[in-house]
Order: sequence, then C-alpha cells, then structure tokens
Amino acid sequence: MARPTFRRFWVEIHPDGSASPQFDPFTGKSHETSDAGQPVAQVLFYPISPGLAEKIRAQGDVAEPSELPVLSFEAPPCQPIDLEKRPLPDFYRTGTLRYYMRRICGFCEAEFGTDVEVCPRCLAKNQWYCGTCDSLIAEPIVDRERDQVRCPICEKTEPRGLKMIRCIGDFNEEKLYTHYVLEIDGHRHLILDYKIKCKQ
Amino acid sequence: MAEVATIVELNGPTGVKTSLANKVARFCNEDSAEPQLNNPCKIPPSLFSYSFRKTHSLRITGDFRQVSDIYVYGDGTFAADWGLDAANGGALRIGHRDTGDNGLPIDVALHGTNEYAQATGDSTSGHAIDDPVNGHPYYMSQSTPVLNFDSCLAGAPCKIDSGPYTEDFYSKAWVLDLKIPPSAIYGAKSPKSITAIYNIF
Repeated sequence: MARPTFRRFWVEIHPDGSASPQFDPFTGKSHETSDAGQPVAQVLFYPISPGLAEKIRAQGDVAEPSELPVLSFEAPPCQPIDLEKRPLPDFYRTGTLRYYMRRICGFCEAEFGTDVEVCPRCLAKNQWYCGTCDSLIAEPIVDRERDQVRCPICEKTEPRGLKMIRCIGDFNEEKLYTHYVLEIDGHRHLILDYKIKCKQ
Repeated sequence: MAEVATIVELNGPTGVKTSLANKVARFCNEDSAEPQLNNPCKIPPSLFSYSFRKTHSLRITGDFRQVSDIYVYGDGTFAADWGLDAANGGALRIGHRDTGDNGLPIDVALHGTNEYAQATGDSTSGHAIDDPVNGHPYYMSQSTPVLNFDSCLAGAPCKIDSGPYTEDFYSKAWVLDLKIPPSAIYGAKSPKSITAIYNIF
C-alpha cells in the first residue's frame, strides 16, 4: 500500500486575506480535504522543513524535507481559483502509482535490483540441485520446449529433473509519485515535487 | 491523511481480490495472483497461444473529496523487451470498449454492475480476451475488443475509469493478456512496470 510523499505543501490565500495551509504548521495535520468554502486568490508552494516533515509523519502521512524553491501563483481579481468547479476544480493533485520489481536475499535480507542474480552483500544465489547426484549443478540442461531443467550428469544414464534451491526472492515495491495541477487564467501549471536540473 | 493506493488482482470464479504489493504478478497458464514459476506461457508451434487473462484494479482508501480519471500506461516496449515478435502479431493487449470507460465494472455498488469473468484456458494456452467463443464477455463483442498495450503511452494513456469516487473504492478493472506467436523468444523475461494515474482533490 503506497502513500504519496510530500516534499512541498501549498497555502491557499483567499480574497479576504485569510490563509489555508495544506498541513497545519504546528501539528502537521493534513487539511487537504477541508472545505474552504470560498474561492482562492493566490496559491503558494513552500518546501517542507525538517520540523514540519516530522510533524506530518507523526500524523501518519509521508513527508520529507526539501529545498525546493517557493512558488507563487496569483489568480486575476475577477477570476479566482475555483475549487468547486466540476468535473475537475482549478486546483487538484495527481497520483502516479508504479510497481518496481526488486529482489531480496533470504540469507542477509539485502534488497537489490533485478539486474543482478547474485546478492551483492553475501553472494548468495538461486541454484539447481540434483537429488541423485546430491550436488548443486552449475550448468544444467535447459529444455525450453519441454519446460524442463535436467541434470547433465544423469542425462547420460537416466535423465532427471533438477530442483531449484531458492534463496533470492522477488517482490514488487510500490511507489506513489504526486504532483499538483493548477489552472489559472487559461494556463495549466504542473507543480512537481522535485527540482529539474537545467544544464548551464 | 492522504490517500493510500495499491493494485489488486482478481482471481477465481468470484473475483477474490489480492493486493499485488510485495508480490510478483506473472503472465502464465493459470488463474493465480502469484504463480511463482509454475505453468509458464507456451510458445505454440503454429498460430498463437495466449496467457491466462489478468484482471487488475486500483484500490484507493483514505481521506479525499474526490478521485477521478484513472488511466494506465506503459513504456511502449513490452513486445520488444519480452521477445513477443510484434511484427508477427505478438503483443501485450488490454481490453477495450468501443465507447466510454475501457475498465471492467467489478462492483455492483460502485460501478452499477459486476462484469468480472474468471480467466480460463488449459495448460497450453489461456483463452484470449477476444476469443470468439471463450473470450471475455465484456469485451469480445466490441468492434475493437483489445488494444495493443504498447500504444498506451504516457501521452496517450488508456482510460480505465472516469469515476468520480468520493470514498474508499476499487476502480473498474483493466484486463490484460499476452498474445504469443511461434516466433516468440524462449526464456525468462525482465520485469516491467505498468503505471496507474488518477486525479485527486
């Protein structure tokens, strides 16, 4: 079960000057679904500080501090940001859920990518075992057409299948990325939670 | 608290839901959320063979006012990376509806109907989504019952569910299968990701 990781938070400024933050700065509690009930004149995005990240985590959400720049978006006076517009309001968030296959070593519990077959920490690997020879087989006969893996030693007398001794497991790691979408005055802004490096 | 999202697979005659978190979903010749290496897909001597269909849904719980516009997409290289020989018809395919959402309704209360159908087949081949006799009932009669999933990219994702949902839900499901030609390449395949996106406020 994946949760979005917040690295910046928004503050809505209403036409009367009042402000509604996404996270309470004192408790870290999320106000994302609080019904402000009034239009928004300005939206500010601040990076999450280490202290605020800790408070947000204490409330059950996932946050990490960042040094993202402060962003400010102002709506034209006669066209405030409409949070009640449907089917989508002028300001909403998008979640992107991806699954990444990862491997885990049964001996040392190291987690690593799928590009390696051998545990990088303890060098454990899945191996084929022959019950007749009572030994691990480094180069088995792999018969794709019959979906068989056989012992090359026993092949000469009585062909025998091998058993996989599995110590490297696969699992899916869930990652949920998130970004904000803000539409002001006909322009659509994507507010990402990371800084894009520009080549100088 | 912000939302929690996961993908579930539906299996069995009644569509039992299993979260794929910390599991490995594999296309194979059985109806199972975690088949390990059992019943691998077969390369046919002629025509095509198919994997058993996979039915997946997005599960979202937590605090939100509304979730809508659920899409899925890939990186466009499933056929190439898995040696399916696209030139000869091999592909990863996704169920498609001629109009409206492409997703499969799986909950009467949430979606109005439940059109789930268990994946079927035998040890040599599953039944394709668009099989004229044993295909998926929700898709097989469409004029375009399947799309090549390699055409579902970030810029043109496949719309699964318009929503909207205002409380914890399972989205409409997406149904996938593999179409395997005789020229497909044998062997273990590298893992690949499917991305699900949604709007939330």
